Amino acid sequence: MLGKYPFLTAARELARAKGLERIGFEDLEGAKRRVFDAVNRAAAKEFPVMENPSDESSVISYALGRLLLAINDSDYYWQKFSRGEAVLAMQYLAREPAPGVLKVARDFFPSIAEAEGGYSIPMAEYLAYGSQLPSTRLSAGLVSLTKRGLFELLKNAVARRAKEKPPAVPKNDLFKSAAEELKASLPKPIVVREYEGSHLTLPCVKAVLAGAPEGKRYYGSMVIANACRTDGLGKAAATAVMQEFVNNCGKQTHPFTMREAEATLEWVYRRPPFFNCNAIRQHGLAPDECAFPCTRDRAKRRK
Amino acid sequence: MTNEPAKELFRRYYVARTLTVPALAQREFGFGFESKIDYRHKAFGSEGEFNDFMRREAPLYASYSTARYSLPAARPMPRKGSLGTDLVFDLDKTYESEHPDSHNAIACERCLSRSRDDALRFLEEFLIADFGFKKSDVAVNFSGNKGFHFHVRTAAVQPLSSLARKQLCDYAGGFEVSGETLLETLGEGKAAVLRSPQPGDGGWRGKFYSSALGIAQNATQESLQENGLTKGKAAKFMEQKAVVVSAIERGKWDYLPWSLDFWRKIADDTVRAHRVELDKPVSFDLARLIRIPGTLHGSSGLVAKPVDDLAKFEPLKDALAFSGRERQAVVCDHDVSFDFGGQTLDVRAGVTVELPLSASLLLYCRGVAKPAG
Repeated sequence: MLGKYPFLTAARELARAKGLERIGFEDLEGAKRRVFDAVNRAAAKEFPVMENPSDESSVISYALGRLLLAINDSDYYWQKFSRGEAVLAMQYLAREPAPGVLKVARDFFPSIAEAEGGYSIPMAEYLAYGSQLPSTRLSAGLVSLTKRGLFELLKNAVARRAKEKPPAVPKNDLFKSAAEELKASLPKPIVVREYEGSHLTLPCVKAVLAGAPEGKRYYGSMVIANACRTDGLGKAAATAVMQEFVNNCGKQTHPFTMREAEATLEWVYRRPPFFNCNAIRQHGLAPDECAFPCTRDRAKRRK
Repeated sequence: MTNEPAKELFRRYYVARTLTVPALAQREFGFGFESKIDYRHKAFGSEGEFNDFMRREAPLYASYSTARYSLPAARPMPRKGSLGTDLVFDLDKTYESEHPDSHNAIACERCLSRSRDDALRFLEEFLIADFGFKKSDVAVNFSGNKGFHFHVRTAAVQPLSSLARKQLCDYAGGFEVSGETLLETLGEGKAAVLRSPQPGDGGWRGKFYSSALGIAQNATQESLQENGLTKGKAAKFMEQKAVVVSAIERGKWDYLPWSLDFWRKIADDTVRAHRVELDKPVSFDLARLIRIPGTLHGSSGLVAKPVDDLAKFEPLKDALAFSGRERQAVVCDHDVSFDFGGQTLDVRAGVTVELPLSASLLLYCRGVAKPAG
C-alpha cells in the first residue's frame, strides 16, 4: 500500500530505515523523476500511472523528493508537487476497494466511520484538512460525507501533507547538486501580470490566469472573461488578458486556442456582468489558500 | 489621562476578591489604562502574583491570551512557544439600528437583551447542536460591555489552525449557505436531481427543514403571498396543502418543482434569521488577548461575569461590581436617564445625586460624571 500512498504515516519508518547515509545516486535520480512527474501531472489531464509501484522505491522517492524541494525552497514548486501527488493518490484511490480507502482515510482522520450514505468524521478532525465546513452536513460535531465528498477531502489532505516542510534538510553536496539539477529540469514558474480591477486581482482569478489544466481550460476562460467583464474592461483589453491565459495554459495534449477563448469572451460580453466565486471552486480551479467566501462574496450575502 | 475615580473603584473591587485564570502561568497578559491594550507580553508565576498586580495597578482593561505558551513573556511572538490555543468566540454586535429611537447610550437593556438572545442561540444551535460541544465544555461570560464571550478549552480544539477557526465562524455566520445550496439541483434536464433536506437532518439543512415544515403546516393564502407566491400559486398551494406537508415530511421535495424559487427564498430567510455574526478575528487570531473573566470592563465598570444560566442572565442586574447598598454622590455634565440594577435612575446636569456605587462607576467609565465634591 505504501507504494501507492507514500505519504502515509507508516511510510516514515520505512524511509528512516533506509537512512540518509545510504542514499545513492539512483535514489536521488528517482526522487528527481518523482518531483518532475508530480509537477507536470498537476497540469495535465491524463498522466500515466504505474500499476504496482514498489513500496520502498515509492516511499524513498517521495521522501527524497520533498527534501530536494526543501533545498530549493520554492513555494511555486511545492504547490505544484503537492497537487500532482494529490492527483496521483486520487487515481489510485479511485480503483481502491472500500477497506483500502478507509485505511488511507484513517491516516488523516483516525475516527472516521462508515455511516449511512457515506462516512462521518468528527468536526475537529475534519478541520485539520478540510476547508469547506460551512457547506458540509454538520450535526452534533460530526461531518457527514458522501464517497465523493470524502475523496475531495482526501485530495486536499494529501496535498496539504505533501506540502509540509521536512523538519531537517540535508546540506551535503550530493543533495545540493541533485536539487540544482531538479530545479533546472522543471518548467519555469509562470509569473502572472498584475492587472487592476477588483476581480482580476482576486487570488483565485490570478491562479486561473496562471494556466488551467486540460479539461478545465474552458471553465478557466469563463472565469477570466467574467472577471474582465465585471471589472468593466473593454473587449480589446479583455482579449489581451485572455491571450495571457491562453499562453499560460501551454500546449498540453491538445492546445487551447485563442479562437476558443475569444468565443468565450464573445458569449460573456453579450450578457450582463456576472461573477460566481463558488463556480471557481466547484471546477477545481481555486488555489488551496482560497479563503472562500472572499470578502466580496460575504458583503453580497449580507445584503 | 487615567480615569482616577473609576480606577479607585476598580482597585476596591480587586482588593475584595481573588481572581483565577486557567493555566495562569502559561498565559500572556495585556493591560490597558487608557486603551484596551497599552502593553502586553506580561506573565505571572502564580495566582498570588497576578492578584497582587491587579490590586496594585487596578488596570481599566485586563486581558489574557487565548493561547498557552511555554514562555509567555518572550518576544517576538514565535519565541513564546505555543502549547495550544483555546477556541474562543466573541459576540459583540450592536443592536442600536433595531431601536434607534429608544436606544440608551449609557446602558441599553434592549441591546443587552438582544445580545443575550443571540448568545443563547449561538450556544444552543451552533456550539452544542452543530459543533457537538457539551454544555460543560463551554465557559460563557458577559464581555463586560455589549456582548458575550465563549471559551472552549477541550484538548481537541487546542491544535485547530487559524483557518479552521475561521471556518467555524463562517459556519455560524451562514456563509456559503443559501437557498441554492440547501435545495441544490444536481445534473440537468430530465436527469436533474434535487438534493434537499431530510427529516432528522441537523445543521443548516435541519434549520431550513424545520422552517419549511412550519411554514407549510401553518400556511394561509395571505402568508404564502407575503412570502412571494403569486395569488394563483398560493391558491394552488392551499388546495394541495396536505400533499405539500406530507411531501416535506417524507423529504420528497421533487414533488414541489413549481415552487422551487419560493422554497429557496424561505431557505434564504432561514439563513438570515438563524445566522450569528461573530467578531471573527477574536476566534482566528492565535495571538489574541481577550478579557479575563471576572475582571471589570473599563468602558462600563461592569464585570465580565461568568454565566451559568444564559437565559436568565441580565447584565444590568447580574454583572454589577458592587452590591446595591453602597452609594456614592456624583455630578453629571449632562442629563442622563437609564435603567440599572432593577431601577430607573435620572440624573440632571450639574445636580449632585447619590447613586448605587455600580451606577456611579458606570457613569465614570462612560465619561459623563465625576464624584461630587
